[in-house]
Amino acid sequence: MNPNNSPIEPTEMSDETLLKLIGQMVQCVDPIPPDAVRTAELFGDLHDLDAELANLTFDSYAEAAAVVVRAGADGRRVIVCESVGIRIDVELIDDGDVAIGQIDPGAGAEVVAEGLNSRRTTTCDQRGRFQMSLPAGIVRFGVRYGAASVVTPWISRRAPQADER
Amino acid sequence: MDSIQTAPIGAMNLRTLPRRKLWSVGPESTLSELHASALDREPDAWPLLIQRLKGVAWWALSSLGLSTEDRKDAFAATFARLFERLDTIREPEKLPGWISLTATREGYAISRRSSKYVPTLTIESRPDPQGGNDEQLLDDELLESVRQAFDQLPEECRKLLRLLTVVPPLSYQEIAEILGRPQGSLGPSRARCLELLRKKLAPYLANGDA
Repeated sequence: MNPNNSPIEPTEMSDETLLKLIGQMVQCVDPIPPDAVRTAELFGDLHDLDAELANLTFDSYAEAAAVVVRAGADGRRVIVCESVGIRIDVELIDDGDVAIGQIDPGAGAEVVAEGLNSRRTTTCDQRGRFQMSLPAGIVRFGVRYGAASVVTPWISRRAPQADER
Repeated sequence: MDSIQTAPIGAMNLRTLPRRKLWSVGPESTLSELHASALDREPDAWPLLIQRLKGVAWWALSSLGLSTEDRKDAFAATFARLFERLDTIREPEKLPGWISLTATREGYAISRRSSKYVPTLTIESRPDPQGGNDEQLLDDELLESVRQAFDQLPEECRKLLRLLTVVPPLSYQEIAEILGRPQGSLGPSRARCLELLRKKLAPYLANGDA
């Protein structure tokens, strides 16, 4: 292309050369972070974990139809899901490290927070309330109450303030 | 996927084919083959699917003004969505368009949650351009000139030219679908944008090597 470092005339550059330069420039300036790809690959590993989750924890999956995520004035995040007659209210606190929530109805309901690498489980009290620390990265919540089970979509748990730089 | 009892008709038809006997997947496999094998839980299929689609997803998230961390979250969420919906995908050959749309949605969802939104479309210019420069043909100066000239192009050109250089390359049909434009308009746009880049590039190269 320019092996001798001689001056290059852009007019002499073919479209292909230019595109190649753009491609290399983009790969230098904005590479895809390998850890982001690795995270995506983990979903494949979760496949079996998913089945396990389905077999051991949930009889069936019902994806919650509606999720409302609100950021409060103080930056706290509230997630509201409702499906098959079960309402899930979760608030993420401590920069998204901890969830406090309520399942309605949900006395004694089982709650699973599933991350990419690990899961945490807890049981609601008699009023359907629960509190749990969350696994790293994106999470989703599974709830089993009686014969019904619900799983939320994946949620980014990071708090809004963390983005300000 | 066994836990999902009601698969759409298209997906069920796909599943009844004895695919595993017919081929094993590799980098040369078509998107349909990779998709079918991923549904069959062939271990190699999912990583290959990501390799094929990651460039489009990253590209789609490049223009939303997200921080790198948010962009990575949106990238992960995009593939989580794909994984969840694998058996509802009826036209796997259109996955690049699907991924682009999904990534944009996930990116917007995350940018809504994080209060900041920077409405720019320039490439994130990070000061550490080391990266895997597989070919050492180009010196940093030339790449830097290209970057500066590229940043001056109109948004439409930047999007198109970046999409044209996504790895592995997309077909014109795929690019047309992603951009929602007629395929025939891409060639002329490409020529126009590259011509513009040549003009923007000229002063840098004239000064740089003198």
